[in-house]
Amino acid sequence: MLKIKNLHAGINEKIILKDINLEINKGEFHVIMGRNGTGKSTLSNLITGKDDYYKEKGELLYNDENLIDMLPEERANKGIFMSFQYPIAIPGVNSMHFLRTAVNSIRKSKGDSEYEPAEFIKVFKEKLSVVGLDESFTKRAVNDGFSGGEKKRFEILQMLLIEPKLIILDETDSGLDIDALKIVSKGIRDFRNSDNAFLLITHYNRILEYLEPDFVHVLLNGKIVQTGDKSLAVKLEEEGYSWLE
Amino acid sequence: MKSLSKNALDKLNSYTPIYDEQWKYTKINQFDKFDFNKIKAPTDLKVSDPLLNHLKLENALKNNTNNCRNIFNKVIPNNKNKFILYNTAHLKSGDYFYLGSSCIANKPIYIKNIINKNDSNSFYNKRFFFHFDKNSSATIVLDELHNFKTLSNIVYEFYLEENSNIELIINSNKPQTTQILNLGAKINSNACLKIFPIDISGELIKNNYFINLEKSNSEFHYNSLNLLNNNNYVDNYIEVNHNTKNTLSQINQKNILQDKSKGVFYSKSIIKENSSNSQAHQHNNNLILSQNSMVHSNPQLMIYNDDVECSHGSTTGKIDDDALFYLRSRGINLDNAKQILLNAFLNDIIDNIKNEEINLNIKEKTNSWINNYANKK
Repeated sequence: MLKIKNLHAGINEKIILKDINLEINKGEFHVIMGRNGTGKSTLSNLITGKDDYYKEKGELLYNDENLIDMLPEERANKGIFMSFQYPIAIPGVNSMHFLRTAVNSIRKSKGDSEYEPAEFIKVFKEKLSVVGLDESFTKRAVNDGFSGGEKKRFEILQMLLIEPKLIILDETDSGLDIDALKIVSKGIRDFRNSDNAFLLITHYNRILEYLEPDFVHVLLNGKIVQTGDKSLAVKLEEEGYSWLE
Repeated sequence: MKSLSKNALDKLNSYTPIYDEQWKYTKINQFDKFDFNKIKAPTDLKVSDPLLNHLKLENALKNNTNNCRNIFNKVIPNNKNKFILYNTAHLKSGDYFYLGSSCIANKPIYIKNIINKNDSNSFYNKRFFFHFDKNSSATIVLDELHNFKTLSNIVYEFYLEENSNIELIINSNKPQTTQILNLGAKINSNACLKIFPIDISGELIKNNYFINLEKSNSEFHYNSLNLLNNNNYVDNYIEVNHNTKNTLSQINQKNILQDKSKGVFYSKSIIKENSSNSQAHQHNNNLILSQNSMVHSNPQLMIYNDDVECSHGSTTGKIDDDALFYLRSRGINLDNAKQILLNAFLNDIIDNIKNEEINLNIKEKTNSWINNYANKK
């Protein structure tokens, strides 16, 4: 699904990722761990198409298509989704209206029928309860006045409604209390299937207790220096990163 | 009326222009094209509800209807600029509106002033006088639509008696108009005036607002939008005098500018010595959509009393890139994402209009302006 070969990339003329190689296939769950500033978010922003991030060399392919040439909305329409580390508040934009526009844009691009407003309210409320948010969120503006935990739950709610294929979770576990972590993890676990794939960026082993990752990669100084299974995350939590240098 | 006009003319002849901050950004000589010898007959007005009593100003003054002579021409500060004097000096006709004591209008009252005739370079010297008696309440929509090139020198006076509660929406779309509006209001105890000037385009528009919070517990709310394109120019000067204690003013202006348009926001709230326990807040937010558009923003507070609550702030910038990316990362295309964000920027002001019909009507207009912006690119 996602193929990254010899990727060198960065932001504003500064190279941050140096020779990344990674392949994510359908049904797989990958985790990237690493110190602050090692390029984890650069990688996710590059995959989703944020301005100012650029590729110097190498390949970034999604279903064998070159991602770099695609607009962010085209990438979303083709099934790429990121749960943001810091979801931005957009006062004045109603959450439900925003999501109906988003879901309908994606459905339209696939040739599927668009949701009527009444039909969407029902689906929206259903997913609100899955992530443990109450119905007042139908009236609230996007992330406006949301607590840290509510923002992360709202990201997962978007994932459930948009039904993407490649899901990047950028520190989705940060700022969540134990109950919220359980709810968010359950949302992710239930959504996981043989047709989609996940790339989770995290600092903590905690969320991995609820999810079953297939691969754990360690990113250090812009390179993947180690790949292992879940036990690698446990080792990192106990010993830190210095043994990898 | 004749003596008033003569008096104004005398004052005008001996008028020495003083430097006043209301002309800080817009030069007064830009209005030299006003020719007071070429005043056109006033336009036809349509008032939707007889509850708002509408008379010719001339007749109201002649009969001293509801003692209007005691207050007419005293609400607008004549000495503030010569265009007010011009307006009074050349007053041939005007309109008088009166809402009686304890009259409560349950539905909005529309005053339609639409110029559809192609009467190139018409000059209008317009005067409206509004008197709201005790305990009255209404939402008034002043629809001003000028489809052709016009010049106007306008004076509006609003006199609010005790406990009156008035919402005024000035719904203006005059792409080719050059206009000076001087609006004065006197607000008495427990009375509240909320005005919503919505200016969608205007060749050269200078709006001056002179508000006097006369008595305790009086309130003034100003929520305004300017949507400017091409070479549009709109300058808003808002002066609020807190003349006594327990008074409140809330100024909120949002502008979107594109092409080579220019905007000015200049508000001055003066909290006088005897205005304890008063509140004055000023906010101005501007979105600049082109390299060639610009805005001057100057929210000013003059505070002569320590026991008050005041705030002022101003922001000017482009559409937030992070918000755009967030929407696009959810499959919404760039143009659509911009439209969503521009509408959201404006809705904050429009949603202060509680009447659903008016609220939706304004949103339809602003949305269509935003769609045109998106389609033009």
